[in-house]
Amino acid sequence: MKAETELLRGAGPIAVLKLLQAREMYGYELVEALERQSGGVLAMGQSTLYPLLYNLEAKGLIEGERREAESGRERKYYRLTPKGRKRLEKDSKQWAALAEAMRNLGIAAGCVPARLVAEGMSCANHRAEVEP
Amino acid sequence: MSTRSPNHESSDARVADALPKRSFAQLFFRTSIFEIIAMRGRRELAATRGLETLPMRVRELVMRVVRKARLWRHERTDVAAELASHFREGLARGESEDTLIRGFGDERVAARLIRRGMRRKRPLAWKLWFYWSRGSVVLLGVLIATYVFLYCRAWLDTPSINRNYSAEWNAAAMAVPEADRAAPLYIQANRAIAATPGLKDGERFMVERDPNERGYSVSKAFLEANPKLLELIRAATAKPKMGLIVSDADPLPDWAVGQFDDAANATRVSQKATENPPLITVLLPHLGPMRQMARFLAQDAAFALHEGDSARMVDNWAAMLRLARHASEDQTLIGQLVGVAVMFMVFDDVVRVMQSHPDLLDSDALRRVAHLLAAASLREQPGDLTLNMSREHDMIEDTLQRVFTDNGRGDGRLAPRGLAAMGEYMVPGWAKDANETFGVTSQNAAVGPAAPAAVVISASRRETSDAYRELLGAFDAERRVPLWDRTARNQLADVSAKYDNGVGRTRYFILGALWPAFGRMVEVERGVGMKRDVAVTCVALAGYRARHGAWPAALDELVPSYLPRVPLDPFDGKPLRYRLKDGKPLLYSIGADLEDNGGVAPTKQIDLEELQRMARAWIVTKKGAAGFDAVYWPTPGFPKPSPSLE
Repeated sequence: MKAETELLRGAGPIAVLKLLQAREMYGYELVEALERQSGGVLAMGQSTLYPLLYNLEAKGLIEGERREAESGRERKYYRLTPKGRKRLEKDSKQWAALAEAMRNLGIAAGCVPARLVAEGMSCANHRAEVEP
Repeated sequence: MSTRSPNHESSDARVADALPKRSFAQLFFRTSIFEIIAMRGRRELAATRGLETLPMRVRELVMRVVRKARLWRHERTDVAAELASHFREGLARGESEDTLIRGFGDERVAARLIRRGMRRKRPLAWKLWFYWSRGSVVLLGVLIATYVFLYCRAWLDTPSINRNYSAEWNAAAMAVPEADRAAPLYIQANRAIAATPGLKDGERFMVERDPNERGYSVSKAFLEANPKLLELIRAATAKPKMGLIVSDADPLPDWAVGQFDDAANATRVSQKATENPPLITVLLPHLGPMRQMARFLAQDAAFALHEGDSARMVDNWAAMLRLARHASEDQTLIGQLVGVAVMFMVFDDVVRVMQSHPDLLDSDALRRVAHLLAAASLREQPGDLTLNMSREHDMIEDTLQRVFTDNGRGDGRLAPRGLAAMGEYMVPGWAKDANETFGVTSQNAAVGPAAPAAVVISASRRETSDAYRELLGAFDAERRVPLWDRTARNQLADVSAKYDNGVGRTRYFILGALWPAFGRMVEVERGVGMKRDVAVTCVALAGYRARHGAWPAALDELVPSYLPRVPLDPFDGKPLRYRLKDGKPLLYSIGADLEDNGGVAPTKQIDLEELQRMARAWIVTKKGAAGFDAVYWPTPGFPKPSPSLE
């Protein structure tokens, strides 16, 4: 299930920041990682991702660097700035509190996407996979 | 930042070709100053290397998005490079062209979001300029919309003229029984003046009291040529009410006789009166002739004095005081001033006769004169010498109803059309100028480009009315303060100053055009009371002498047989100064310096109005009026003023 636009607008930036926390990534890689690690919930096309990246860049939360990859193709790699790390830390707490509240209300069920739960993914395994 | 190698230069040229073509002029005019400063165009252009290797449909998609995003040149190449890189990655992973295009999303939404994102990355200076320019455009739009709204409203606004003040004025006059109306007899007298040879058309009749002067005999010949004239005037003054019908006809035909009898002016008489004319256009053509008639009576009083006919002299004084009452009956400022002027003639004449011929009148005649003076009035109540300017208030209210709209709750805004209509009267020739200059009618010219500004700047109807009442209240307060209690603080001047400045004159320009000269009225009102007090005291002195054969040693001796009380010195509130000097009375006020100088007269004639103004100045500055008193008896001998000054 893909998230509604309004929900994605709030979740997209922190999701991108979270992905860049582990390592620098380029656009196509981010699109792939978002779709795969969110179980398709936070999947977004180029039309959404790149403006989002430009916004984060304008706010100084990430910075981009264009360079040639080993494959010979030129890519623009994005990485988290110190300001971005602080923002991620702050927003993560808020999202955790929000998720906890949703769980308490019986809206959110657990810590792993439903599709991955069906595949036998545990919370610990999932955290190990998504966190550096 | 680019890390590409120099061998990519040829590829850059191909990419540049792939991007939208732009002429030099387009590049010059559509490249922002910020972009020029950044000097990034060529460098970033190189980063799009490989765009030409994409499939045609993908490349066109990228080009369309970049074009729709409407970015700066280096931004376009930057975004194009990134999108191209994305598609190359996808193709390299084996994804189909269709899948990639589908996964891209809505290109219009993408262009819009990209534009927004890239703009956020622009320099602060650009952002300031952007928001300032957008803000200016919005502000300009709001101003234009507001102006258009105000202009339309100004065009549509029209005053509601609900009251006919001149009709109300005339209704009061017509309520007077015809037999009690003085106006018809004054009109007859005016015609008699016109029919009498010896006085040129419109010429002022000058009172001459010295039998040795030529004017005395000329005046005598004129009055003897028409013996009915004085009878008519006296008969008019004997009527209880004026009963004058007013209109805006120019001039009122009844009063035109004797004023305009040449052919050119005769045509003006034919102008018809309008049904509900603005009160400020209502003419008062009777006042000039009535003042003239008062002079005839004064002249006859002078003749009677020299003929020893004291009864006729007093009759003339009595007639003059009644005429003064009739003149002031219209309750206009000018009517009150004419009434006061006629009273001054009587009061001065009485003082003059009491001093020059103290034995002329017997006790009964003196008592009669005393009673006449005491009963002299500008209002219904006998003896009331306070100015009655109710018609001036009506004039303000009438103007407000013609210049402002009416919201039914006593308020409204300036209606340019109403102002234009009134402008015809307030600024003569305005309509003609508007027509000649702009080729439009005066009312349309009023709703010109500046009309909305005039409506916004002008005070509202209620504000204007309140300002008028505030000024009126200050006038009433000021007239009640005795001269000796005056301080540097002048309530009327204080309130006037509040409105008599650049902002006040602009916002309350209606009041500026109509505001009566209330400042002077305070002195006029006090002056007429002072003159009567002096005249009454002089009559009392003569009465005492007639009975006791000598002048009193003090004014206290006149009370109560000749005076109800000793009049107060208007300058300090103490009894008028009096003593015998060389066996003759010396009656005076301490004058403007508020010090008793022993009855020293000034070296030149200073009227009571001017003395009051000098006293007010003296209270504040201690300058300008030192060393003399206001001497009433004996009347100081000054050089005779020239006829023109009189």
